[in-house]
Amino acid sequence: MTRRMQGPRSMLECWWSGRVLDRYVEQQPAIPLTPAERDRLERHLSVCERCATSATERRRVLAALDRLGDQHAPPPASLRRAHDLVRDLTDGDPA
Amino acid sequence: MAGRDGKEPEGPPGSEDMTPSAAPAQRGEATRAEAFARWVEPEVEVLLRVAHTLTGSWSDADDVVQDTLVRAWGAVDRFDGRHPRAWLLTILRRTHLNSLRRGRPDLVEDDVLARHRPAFGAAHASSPEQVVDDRAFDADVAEAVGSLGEQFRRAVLLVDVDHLTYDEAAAVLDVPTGTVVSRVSRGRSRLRAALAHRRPRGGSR
Repeated sequence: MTRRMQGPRSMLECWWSGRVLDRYVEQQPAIPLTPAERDRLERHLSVCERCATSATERRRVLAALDRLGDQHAPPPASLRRAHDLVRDLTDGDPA
Repeated sequence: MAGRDGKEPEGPPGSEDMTPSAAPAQRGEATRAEAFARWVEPEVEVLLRVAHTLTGSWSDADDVVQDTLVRAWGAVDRFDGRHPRAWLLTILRRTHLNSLRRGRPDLVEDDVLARHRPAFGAAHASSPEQVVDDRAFDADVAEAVGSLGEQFRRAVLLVDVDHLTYDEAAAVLDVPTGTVVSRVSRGRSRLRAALAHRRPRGGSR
Protein backbone atom coordinates (compact mmCIF):
# COMPACT_ATOMS: atom_id res chain seq x y z
CA MET A 1 0.00 0.00 0.00
CA THR A 2 1.29 3.42 -0.86
CA ARG A 3 1.07 6.53 1.24
CA ARG A 4 1.55 10.17 0.50
CA MET A 5 4.97 11.79 0.60
CA GLN A 6 5.47 15.40 1.52
CA GLY A 7 8.23 17.99 1.45
CA PRO A 8 10.86 19.23 -1.02
CA ARG A 9 12.73 15.93 -1.13
CA SER A 10 9.62 14.10 -2.21
CA MET A 11 9.01 16.71 -4.92
CA LEU A 12 12.51 16.11 -6.22
CA GLU A 13 11.94 12.39 -6.20
CA CYS A 14 8.61 12.83 -7.99
CA TRP A 15 10.30 14.96 -10.63
CA TRP A 16 13.03 12.36 -11.12
CA SER A 17 10.48 9.55 -11.11
CA GLY A 18 8.51 11.26 -13.87
CA ARG A 19 11.63 11.34 -16.00
CA VAL A 20 12.44 7.66 -15.68
CA LEU A 21 9.03 5.99 -15.39
CA ASP A 22 8.76 5.25 -19.10
CA ARG A 23 12.08 3.43 -18.98
CA TYR A 24 10.81 1.49 -16.00
CA VAL A 25 7.51 0.32 -17.46
CA GLU A 26 8.52 -0.46 -21.04
CA GLN A 27 10.00 -3.79 -22.01
CA GLN A 28 12.78 -2.60 -24.30
CA PRO A 29 13.77 0.91 -23.26
CA ALA A 30 16.41 2.67 -25.31
CA ILE A 31 18.43 3.02 -22.13
CA PRO A 32 17.46 0.54 -19.40
CA LEU A 33 17.48 1.68 -15.81
CA THR A 34 20.48 0.65 -13.79
CA PRO A 35 19.79 -1.60 -10.81
CA ALA A 36 20.42 1.36 -8.52
CA GLU A 37 17.97 3.53 -10.45
CA ARG A 38 15.39 0.77 -10.43
CA ASP A 39 15.80 0.29 -6.71
CA ARG A 40 15.51 4.02 -6.06
CA LEU A 41 12.39 4.25 -8.21
CA GLU A 42 10.70 1.27 -6.63
CA ARG A 43 11.36 2.66 -3.18
CA HIS A 44 9.77 5.92 -4.26
CA LEU A 45 6.78 4.19 -5.85
CA SER A 46 6.16 2.31 -2.63
CA VAL A 47 5.63 5.57 -0.75
CA CYS A 48 4.27 7.94 -3.39
CA GLU A 49 0.71 7.34 -4.42
CA ARG A 50 0.77 9.85 -7.24
CA CYS A 51 3.82 8.35 -8.95
CA ALA A 52 2.56 4.82 -8.39
CA THR A 53 -0.69 5.82 -10.07
CA SER A 54 1.29 7.31 -12.92
CA ALA A 55 3.20 4.04 -13.33
CA THR A 56 -0.07 2.12 -13.39
CA GLU A 57 -1.47 4.51 -15.93
CA ARG A 58 1.59 4.17 -18.18
CA ARG A 59 1.45 0.39 -18.00
CA ARG A 60 -2.20 0.42 -18.91
CA VAL A 61 -1.63 2.58 -21.98
CA LEU A 62 1.28 0.39 -23.10
CA ALA A 63 -0.84 -2.72 -22.64
CA ALA A 64 -3.60 -1.18 -24.74
CA LEU A 65 -1.07 -0.30 -27.45
CA ASP A 66 0.20 -3.85 -27.31
CA ARG A 67 -3.34 -5.11 -27.89
CA LEU A 68 -3.62 -2.78 -30.85
CA GLY A 69 -0.62 -4.63 -32.23
CA ASP A 70 -2.65 -7.82 -32.23
CA GLN A 71 -5.18 -6.13 -34.47
CA HIS A 72 -2.31 -4.77 -36.53
CA ALA A 73 -1.33 -8.27 -37.61
CA PRO A 74 -1.09 -8.58 -41.40
CA PRO A 75 -3.90 -10.42 -43.18
CA PRO A 76 -2.93 -13.98 -44.11
CA ALA A 77 -3.30 -13.13 -47.79
CA SER A 78 -0.72 -10.35 -47.49
CA LEU A 79 1.70 -12.65 -45.71
CA ARG A 80 1.19 -15.34 -48.32
CA ARG A 81 1.79 -12.93 -51.21
CA ALA A 82 5.00 -11.67 -49.66
CA HIS A 83 6.32 -15.13 -48.91
CA ASP A 84 5.36 -16.27 -52.42
CA LEU A 85 7.32 -13.39 -53.86
CA VAL A 86 10.39 -14.30 -51.82
CA ARG A 87 10.13 -17.83 -53.16
CA ASP A 88 9.62 -16.62 -56.73
CA LEU A 89 12.63 -14.36 -56.49
CA THR A 90 14.89 -17.01 -55.06
CA ASP A 91 13.61 -19.86 -57.24
CA GLY A 92 13.70 -18.04 -60.54
CA ASP A 93 16.79 -16.00 -59.83
CA PRO A 94 16.98 -13.65 -62.84
CA ALA A 95 20.39 -12.33 -61.90
CA MET B 1 18.03 16.52 -37.92
CA ALA B 2 14.74 14.92 -38.72
CA GLY B 3 13.29 13.98 -42.08
CA ARG B 4 15.86 14.04 -44.80
CA ASP B 5 13.64 12.81 -47.55
CA GLY B 6 15.38 12.13 -50.81
CA LYS B 7 18.90 12.32 -49.45
CA GLU B 8 21.54 9.70 -50.03
CA PRO B 9 21.31 6.82 -47.59
CA GLU B 10 23.16 6.70 -44.34
CA GLY B 11 21.68 3.54 -42.97
CA PRO B 12 22.59 1.83 -39.72
CA PRO B 13 25.55 -0.54 -39.51
CA GLY B 14 25.06 -3.41 -41.87
CA SER B 15 22.20 -1.74 -43.62
CA GLU B 16 21.80 -1.25 -47.34
CA ASP B 17 25.10 -0.28 -48.86
CA MET B 18 25.08 0.80 -52.48
CA THR B 19 28.81 1.27 -52.92
CA PRO B 20 30.34 -1.33 -55.22
CA SER B 21 33.50 -1.44 -53.14
CA ALA B 22 31.49 -2.74 -50.21
CA ALA B 23 30.39 -5.87 -52.07
CA PRO B 24 31.23 -9.02 -50.12
CA ALA B 25 32.97 -12.03 -51.49
CA GLN B 26 31.38 -13.66 -54.49
CA ARG B 27 28.44 -15.82 -53.67
CA GLY B 28 27.10 -18.65 -55.76
CA GLU B 29 23.59 -18.20 -57.04
CA ALA B 30 22.25 -20.94 -54.78
CA THR B 31 23.97 -19.41 -51.79
CA ARG B 32 22.64 -16.00 -52.75
CA ALA B 33 19.08 -17.26 -52.91
CA GLU B 34 19.49 -19.22 -49.71
CA ALA B 35 20.93 -16.27 -47.85
CA PHE B 36 18.22 -13.95 -49.13
CA ALA B 37 15.49 -16.32 -47.98
CA ARG B 38 17.17 -16.75 -44.62
CA TRP B 39 17.44 -13.01 -44.05
CA VAL B 40 14.08 -12.00 -45.44
CA GLU B 41 11.57 -14.71 -44.58
CA PRO B 42 11.60 -14.02 -40.81
CA GLU B 43 11.11 -10.29 -41.43
CA VAL B 44 8.13 -10.44 -43.78
CA GLU B 45 5.55 -9.89 -41.04
CA VAL B 46 7.49 -6.98 -39.57
CA LEU B 47 7.81 -5.43 -43.02
CA LEU B 48 4.07 -5.66 -43.55
CA ARG B 49 3.31 -4.22 -40.12
CA VAL B 50 5.65 -1.29 -40.65
CA ALA B 51 4.39 -0.70 -44.18
CA HIS B 52 0.88 -0.62 -42.79
CA THR B 53 1.94 1.90 -40.17
CA LEU B 54 3.46 4.06 -42.90
CA THR B 55 0.69 3.77 -45.48
CA GLY B 56 -2.41 3.16 -43.38
CA SER B 57 -3.85 0.41 -45.55
CA TRP B 58 -3.05 -3.22 -46.15
CA SER B 59 -3.33 -2.97 -49.92
CA ASP B 60 -0.77 -0.16 -49.98
CA ALA B 61 1.36 -2.06 -47.49
CA ASP B 62 1.27 -5.03 -49.85
CA ASP B 63 2.52 -2.87 -52.71
CA VAL B 64 5.30 -1.29 -50.66
CA VAL B 65 6.49 -4.63 -49.31
CA GLN B 66 6.44 -6.27 -52.73
CA ASP B 67 8.53 -3.40 -54.14
CA THR B 68 10.80 -3.60 -51.11
CA LEU B 69 11.42 -7.30 -51.60
CA VAL B 70 12.25 -6.85 -55.28
CA ARG B 71 14.66 -4.02 -54.48
CA ALA B 72 16.21 -6.02 -51.66
CA TRP B 73 16.74 -8.95 -54.01
CA GLY B 74 18.45 -6.61 -56.46
CA ALA B 75 20.71 -5.28 -53.72
CA VAL B 76 21.44 -8.50 -51.89
CA ASP B 77 24.95 -8.82 -53.30
CA ARG B 78 25.85 -5.53 -51.67
CA PHE B 79 24.45 -6.48 -48.27
CA ASP B 80 26.97 -7.73 -45.76
CA GLY B 81 24.53 -9.91 -43.85
CA ARG B 82 24.54 -7.89 -40.65
CA HIS B 83 21.25 -6.58 -39.27
CA PRO B 84 18.91 -7.81 -42.00
CA ARG B 85 15.90 -6.18 -40.37
CA ALA B 86 17.54 -2.76 -40.37
CA TRP B 87 18.65 -3.30 -43.97
CA LEU B 88 15.14 -4.23 -45.07
CA LEU B 89 13.51 -1.43 -43.09
CA THR B 90 15.82 1.08 -44.73
CA ILE B 91 14.87 -0.20 -48.18
CA LEU B 92 11.21 -0.16 -47.17
CA ARG B 93 11.45 3.46 -46.05
CA ARG B 94 12.96 4.51 -49.37
CA THR B 95 10.44 2.47 -51.29
CA HIS B 96 7.64 4.15 -49.39
CA LEU B 97 9.10 7.59 -50.03
CA ASN B 98 9.36 6.80 -53.72
CA SER B 99 5.75 5.72 -53.79
CA LEU B 100 4.77 9.00 -52.16
CA ARG B 101 6.79 10.93 -54.73
CA ARG B 102 4.93 9.17 -57.49
CA GLY B 103 1.92 11.01 -56.11
CA ARG B 104 -0.37 8.12 -55.48
CA PRO B 105 -3.49 9.71 -54.00
CA ASP B 106 -4.15 6.76 -51.71
CA LEU B 107 -0.94 7.47 -49.84
CA VAL B 108 -1.73 11.05 -48.90
CA GLU B 109 -1.20 11.70 -45.21
CA ASP B 110 -4.77 12.78 -44.41
CA ASP B 111 -6.03 9.47 -45.68
CA VAL B 112 -3.57 7.67 -43.48
CA LEU B 113 -5.05 9.31 -40.42
CA ALA B 114 -8.59 8.60 -41.47
CA ARG B 115 -7.87 4.96 -42.17
CA HIS B 116 -5.98 4.34 -39.00
CA ARG B 117 -8.92 5.02 -36.77
CA PRO B 118 -11.27 2.24 -37.79
CA ALA B 119 -8.37 -0.20 -37.84
CA PHE B 120 -8.11 0.23 -34.11
CA GLY B 121 -11.82 0.22 -33.44
CA ALA B 122 -12.26 -3.35 -32.33
CA ALA B 123 -10.53 -4.62 -29.24
CA HIS B 124 -10.08 -7.68 -27.12
CA ALA B 125 -8.79 -8.31 -23.65
CA SER B 126 -7.36 -11.32 -21.96
CA SER B 127 -8.71 -10.78 -18.46
CA PRO B 128 -12.40 -11.71 -18.10
CA GLU B 129 -12.87 -9.23 -15.25
CA GLN B 130 -11.69 -6.36 -17.42
CA VAL B 131 -13.15 -7.22 -20.79
CA VAL B 132 -15.73 -4.48 -20.87
CA ASP B 133 -13.48 -1.83 -19.40
CA ASP B 134 -10.51 -2.80 -21.57
CA ARG B 135 -12.58 -2.70 -24.73
CA ALA B 136 -13.78 0.77 -23.96
CA PHE B 137 -10.29 1.81 -22.97
CA ASP B 138 -8.75 0.30 -26.12
CA ALA B 139 -11.20 2.21 -28.25
CA ASP B 140 -10.26 5.40 -26.43
CA VAL B 141 -6.57 4.65 -26.89
CA ALA B 142 -7.09 3.96 -30.58
CA GLU B 143 -8.87 7.24 -31.00
CA ALA B 144 -6.16 9.05 -29.06
CA VAL B 145 -3.46 7.48 -31.22
CA GLY B 146 -5.31 8.57 -34.34
CA SER B 147 -5.41 12.10 -32.99
CA LEU B 148 -1.66 12.34 -32.44
CA GLY B 149 0.40 14.42 -34.81
CA GLU B 150 1.93 12.47 -37.66
CA GLN B 151 5.46 12.35 -36.22
CA PHE B 152 4.35 11.21 -32.80
CA ARG B 153 1.81 8.74 -34.10
CA ARG B 154 4.28 6.97 -36.34
CA ALA B 155 6.91 6.79 -33.62
CA VAL B 156 4.43 5.38 -31.10
CA LEU B 157 3.03 2.88 -33.61
CA LEU B 158 6.45 1.64 -34.66
CA VAL B 159 7.78 1.22 -31.12
CA ASP B 160 4.72 0.43 -29.00
CA VAL B 161 2.46 -1.30 -31.51
CA ASP B 162 4.84 -2.86 -34.05
CA HIS B 163 7.48 -3.44 -31.34
CA LEU B 164 10.48 -2.23 -33.30
CA THR B 165 13.50 -1.25 -31.28
CA TYR B 166 14.28 2.44 -31.15
CA ASP B 167 17.16 1.88 -33.56
CA GLU B 168 14.92 0.07 -36.02
CA ALA B 169 12.27 2.77 -35.80
CA ALA B 170 15.00 5.33 -36.45
CA ALA B 171 15.94 3.44 -39.62
CA VAL B 172 12.33 3.54 -40.80
CA LEU B 173 11.85 7.21 -40.01
CA ASP B 174 15.33 8.26 -41.14
CA VAL B 175 15.97 10.20 -37.96
CA PRO B 176 18.47 9.71 -35.12
CA THR B 177 17.55 7.23 -32.43
CA GLY B 178 17.37 10.02 -29.87
CA THR B 179 14.71 11.71 -31.97
CA VAL B 180 12.63 8.55 -31.91
CA VAL B 181 13.05 8.30 -28.14
CA SER B 182 11.87 11.88 -27.81
CA ARG B 183 8.92 11.45 -30.16
CA VAL B 184 7.77 8.27 -28.45
CA SER B 185 8.06 9.87 -25.05
CA ARG B 186 6.13 12.94 -26.12
CA GLY B 187 3.62 10.83 -28.01
CA ARG B 188 2.95 8.73 -24.94
CA SER B 189 2.67 11.84 -22.84
CA ARG B 190 0.05 13.23 -25.21
CA LEU B 191 -1.79 9.94 -25.17
CA ARG B 192 -1.92 9.99 -21.39
CA ALA B 193 -3.18 13.55 -21.46
CA ALA B 194 -5.87 12.60 -23.96
CA LEU B 195 -6.83 9.67 -21.75
CA ALA B 196 -6.84 11.60 -18.51
CA HIS B 197 -10.56 10.97 -18.13
CA ARG B 198 -9.79 7.22 -18.09
CA ARG B 199 -7.24 7.24 -15.30
CA PRO B 200 -7.16 3.96 -13.37
CA ARG B 201 -8.69 3.82 -9.99
CA GLY B 202 -6.28 3.61 -7.05
CA GLY B 203 -2.53 3.93 -7.14
CA SER B 204 -1.06 0.67 -5.99
CA ARG B 205 0.70 -1.65 -8.39
